[in-house]
Formats: sequence, structure tokens, C-alpha cells
Amino acid sequence: MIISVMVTGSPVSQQSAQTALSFCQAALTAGHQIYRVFFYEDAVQLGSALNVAPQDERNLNAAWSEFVKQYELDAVICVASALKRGILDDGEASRYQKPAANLAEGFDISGLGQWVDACLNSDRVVSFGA
Amino acid sequence: MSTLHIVSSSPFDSNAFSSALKTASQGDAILLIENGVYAAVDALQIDNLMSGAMPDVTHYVLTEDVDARALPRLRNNIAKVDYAGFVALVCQHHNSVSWN
Repeated sequence: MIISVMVTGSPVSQQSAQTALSFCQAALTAGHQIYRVFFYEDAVQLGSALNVAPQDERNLNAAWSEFVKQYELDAVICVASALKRGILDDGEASRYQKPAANLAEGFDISGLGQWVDACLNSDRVVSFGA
Repeated sequence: MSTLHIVSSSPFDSNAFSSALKTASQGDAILLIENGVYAAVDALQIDNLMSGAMPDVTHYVLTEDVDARALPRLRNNIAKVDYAGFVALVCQHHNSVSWN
């Protein structure tokens, strides 16, 4: 089946980003296709390349970035949520004249229309987080 | 057209589990994940919440989250699934709703 996933929970204070990652891995293992993963609200923090996890904790940002690169998934960070939280790609950084961009490898910044498109083109959609 | 109700917060923190119980109709399933697994515990408070719930709704609980919380006894009307089972449940039902 074609599955799309929305993640909304903060990776630093909620379990949902970890749950969503385990779900996506299990879906691919079962032979399903992931059409898109859409990161919304506090989950856009997963797109930052600048977070540093303590040595004895799992680095969820790195785990997600590795996962979407490994399987060449379409991983979209919501632009409105991202800009508010200081997650910028090169284009947004230059548009708003910010000193740096910090979008991690494997992610794209785009709009909520990408989620509408995912809903239209997927057999199943699942949402993780508050 | 059946629905999978995914409950991810504790019944002692939010109305998510109660809302799922009230909303689920015949043929639907409820899956407890994250802190939602506390609704799988064999306890009087949970029985009280369940009284009057729709009978033909199957309840599932995510094993990984039960184990992570070292929950002692689960109620006997609930089935354990792993992440592969979670994916299968999503595919078996037409829609999913996430309750927090």
C-alpha cells in the first residue's frame, strides 16, 4: 500500500517522532511504499542540522536524516512552522537575509499543499503527535 | 469503512481514550501506543471507563511501549501487537484517527 505519515510532536519532549520513525521502518520492511513524510508544528525541529544530542541519548534528528536519505524518501518540512522555529534552507535564509541556513540533509521545506497532495495520492495516512 | 483509533496519551492525563471509546463504532479497532498503553492495564479505573463501550471494537496495545513502561498485568480483552502489527492494522482499516 501507499502510506503517508504526518509528524507533529516535538522531538525533544514527545515520543511521537520516535514512534513515527519505527512505524515507517516497519512499513518499508513489510513492503509498503511511503509516499511522503510531512513534518508539521514542533516536529519541524527534526529538520535542524544544528541540534546536539547528549552522548548517552539517541540523536533522533540524525536517525531521521539517515533514514530519509537511505530510502530516498520525500521528507517535507512545513515552511510556516519551520520559519517560526528558525529552520531555514538556503533559499529562505537569503530571502529573509538571515546569517545561516540549517536544514539537514534529506529534508525539503515546502507548504501544507504537499500534505493535501499526499492525502490524495496515498491509500493510508497516519498522524503522530499532539 | 472501518477506522483505526490510535490513542497515544494516558487515560489519567487526557480524555483521548474515553473519546476513542465513545467514537468507535462496530468493526473499528483501538490501538494504544506511547502513554496510551496505560489504558491496557488491568485496573478498576479502566474497567469503569470501558463500561458501556461498544462491544464489537477490538483493542490492541503496542508491545514495545508496554515493555518500555514495565506494565505489570494487562486486561485480558486486549491483544498485543508489534510495529509490524501496527502497520498491518493501519492497512486493514480504511482510515486512522490519532487521539492525544
